[in-house]
Amino acid sequence: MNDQALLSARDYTVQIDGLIERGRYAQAGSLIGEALAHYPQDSGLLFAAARIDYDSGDADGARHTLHQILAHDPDHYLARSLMVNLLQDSGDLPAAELLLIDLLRAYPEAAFQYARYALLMYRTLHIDKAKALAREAYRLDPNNELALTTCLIGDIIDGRRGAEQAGLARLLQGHPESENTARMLITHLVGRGRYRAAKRIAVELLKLYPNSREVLELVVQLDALSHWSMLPLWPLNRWGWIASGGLYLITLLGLNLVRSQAPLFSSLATYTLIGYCLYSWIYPPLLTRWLKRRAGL
Amino acid sequence: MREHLLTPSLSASAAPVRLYSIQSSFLVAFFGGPAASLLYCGLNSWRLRRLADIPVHLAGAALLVALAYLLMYQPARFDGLYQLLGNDVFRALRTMLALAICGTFYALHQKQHRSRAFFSDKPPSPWIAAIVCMVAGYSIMVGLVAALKGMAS
Amino acid sequence: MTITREALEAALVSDPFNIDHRLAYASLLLQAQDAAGALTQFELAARQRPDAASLTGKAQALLALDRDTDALAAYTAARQHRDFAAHGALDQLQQRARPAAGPALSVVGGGAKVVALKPQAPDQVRFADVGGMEDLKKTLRLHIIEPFLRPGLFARFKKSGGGGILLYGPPGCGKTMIARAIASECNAAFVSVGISEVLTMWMGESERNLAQLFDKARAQKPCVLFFDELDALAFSRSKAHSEHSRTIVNEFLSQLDGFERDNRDVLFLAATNMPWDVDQAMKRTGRFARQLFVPPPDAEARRHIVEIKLRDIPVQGIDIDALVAATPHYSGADIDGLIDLAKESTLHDILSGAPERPIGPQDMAVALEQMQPSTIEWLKTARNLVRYAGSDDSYRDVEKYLKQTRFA
Repeated sequence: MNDQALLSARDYTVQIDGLIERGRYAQAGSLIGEALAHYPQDSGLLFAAARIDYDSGDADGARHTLHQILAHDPDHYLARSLMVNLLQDSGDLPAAELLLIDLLRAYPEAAFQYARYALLMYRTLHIDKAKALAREAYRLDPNNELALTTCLIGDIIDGRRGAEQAGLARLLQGHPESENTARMLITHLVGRGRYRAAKRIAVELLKLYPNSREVLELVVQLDALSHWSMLPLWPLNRWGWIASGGLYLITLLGLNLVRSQAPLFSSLATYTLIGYCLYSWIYPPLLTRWLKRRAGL
Repeated sequence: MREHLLTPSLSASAAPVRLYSIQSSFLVAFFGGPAASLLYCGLNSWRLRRLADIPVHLAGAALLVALAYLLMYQPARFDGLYQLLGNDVFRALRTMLALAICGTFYALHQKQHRSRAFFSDKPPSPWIAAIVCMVAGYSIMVGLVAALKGMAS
Repeated sequence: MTITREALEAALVSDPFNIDHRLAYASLLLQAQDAAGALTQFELAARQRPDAASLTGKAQALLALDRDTDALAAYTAARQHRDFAAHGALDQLQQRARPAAGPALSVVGGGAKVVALKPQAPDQVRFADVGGMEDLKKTLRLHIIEPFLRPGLFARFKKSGGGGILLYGPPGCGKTMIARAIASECNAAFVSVGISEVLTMWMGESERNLAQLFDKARAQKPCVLFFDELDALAFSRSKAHSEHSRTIVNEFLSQLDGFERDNRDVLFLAATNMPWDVDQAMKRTGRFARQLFVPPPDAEARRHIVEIKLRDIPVQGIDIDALVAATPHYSGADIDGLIDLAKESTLHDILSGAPERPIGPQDMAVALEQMQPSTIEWLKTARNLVRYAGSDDSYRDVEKYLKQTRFA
């Protein structure tokens, strides 16, 4: 790719990082090959190679390269940090936790790592510890996006609406264009039953990341939730199983009322309710499947 | 640095906790009844190692026994409901108790369910546990009715 | 009513400052093969009123006197003026005067490192060389080429043209080739900034490199400055993690804005496969405000490509119409790949012991089975964008294409 005199390892790293940032993995891979031919032991370049492997889905390749780096430089911060991702992705959460703790002992002011640890604890249902870690991350760096996010997650879990609004406002103020912020906003809106608004945000996210399968799936899900034909199911979508229980009660009382007061309509009422139950059961997955197929998923 | 935060919480020998979904809990309650619901929700309590759920289980069991006893031996208490619901009273009460148990345990485990919703980890497959709980729940109800009849005679 | 030479001479005697008469007189002299006399008159007119007409006339007179360099300088000066109208012979002179080899611009990296930008191709690509795509070519001619060649005409109709244009579309569909063709049609120098140059800018000195780039473009007027893979240089700041990436975009935007005052003879073109990765500020007025979709080649263009690729190789019995119909959404590179596969199939047979034979329909059939157009993923992404996010007209051209081709 480069027809100049030999670049320094640092220059190669800068170029490769730029290509990775832009998602140009093929070009980055080609350049890393050239770079490593000249600087095979440079840990910056090796780390870039691991990143390319990780971002392209080659977890084994990434792991192998990270082990290579850590064999020479066991304290390499970035390599250990990426290793946490790999361990989490492979489901080895205890090992990921231990590595995070090591990182935090080595870098006690790393708000980002505290926030990652908080996320891990949320994932493994250690809620109280997760919230404490999130608070610590926020204390260390109140502007850190992940710290703000983990605090917001804590507020959502606790059901504290006021704090949730405030947390979301902080996130929007500090990181208005971040994908993470958009996702949290979508979560907030879906929790309030505002599916159309959530879909609009998701569509904006799709405009930024049209190649992202995850984002497309989110748009399709929200498209299904906000579809006009799903309007009769809005209470069930909004209040979940509480609404289902309520529906059961209403059905029970309603049917008996109709039977006693207007027996002529008893069959009609029964079939209508059965129809509604079947519709609530069968239609949403069918609609979602159709929308997914239409989107090429 | 807060040292207590840097103590490992996960163990290599024990898998991270995964809860059965609220959807499966609802369906077990609806189709399986209160005993099945108690058993199935108990599985989540056991996975979370929540000792504080034990009194709630005991209360649920007591309510179940009381309901069964009242329906069998003091049906007059439910005259108002009979007028409203006719012959569906038994089924209605059974289902409502089951849903109430399910709802109570959801409220107790709400934070964990909400936390789980942020991640794409799939809940464990509910089929075997649900079927076992429903069969066991049915057996418990049969046994309970037989026991109550035996006590009465 | 044609005024005679004598009448004009008399008119100039009585009113030496009448420019129109002087220009008419100079033109008559030029027609009468008195180039030296015409030059004198045009120079007088230019001294009184330096405008497109007097300077173009001077250039014509100089050309007639075989003073090509001076003619070129005068013609270049004429382009700066409002009423400029192109002159065929002078345009050809300008084209011939382009350097055929060697770097047109260079980007100076840190220290004394000089990175040569892509040199001009010796053979010019013209629109005639781009098969099919008549609608696109018409749009390009109306919105880009003619306003560049005849700014006076468009100014009279108060129609703006030129500025920055962003070509976007699936990979391999000829965006770079079209950019070169635009430069040739505009009789302008073509300077390309590609991924290699961008990589160099990332290493540091990006502000200096960009400034020098734009300075060189000014010095080469008329010039088409083409940024290939614009998403690499102007990556969306909202997605960029590194401060460095954001800084480069800010610098690029300042250079574009600063260039506006002085950019009459510089046309900015850019191309990208990922328009959604280009910073939104790049697409605003004064920068790359116009975005044109370059679709995969249409049937006529594919036929043109197939005919060129099958020329001079042994083929027999290949129904080109059927092949064109069987390759919807194929890019030029895909058709290349398809024909390569067909060649491989033939060669494989021959090397396995079969008698030597030309490429036939069966080889094409085998190739078609194996080949999947590379544009499909891009079109699927675009389809979803149009479906869900098409309300703001960003991808209106794409939507039209998808409807016309019934892309499922």
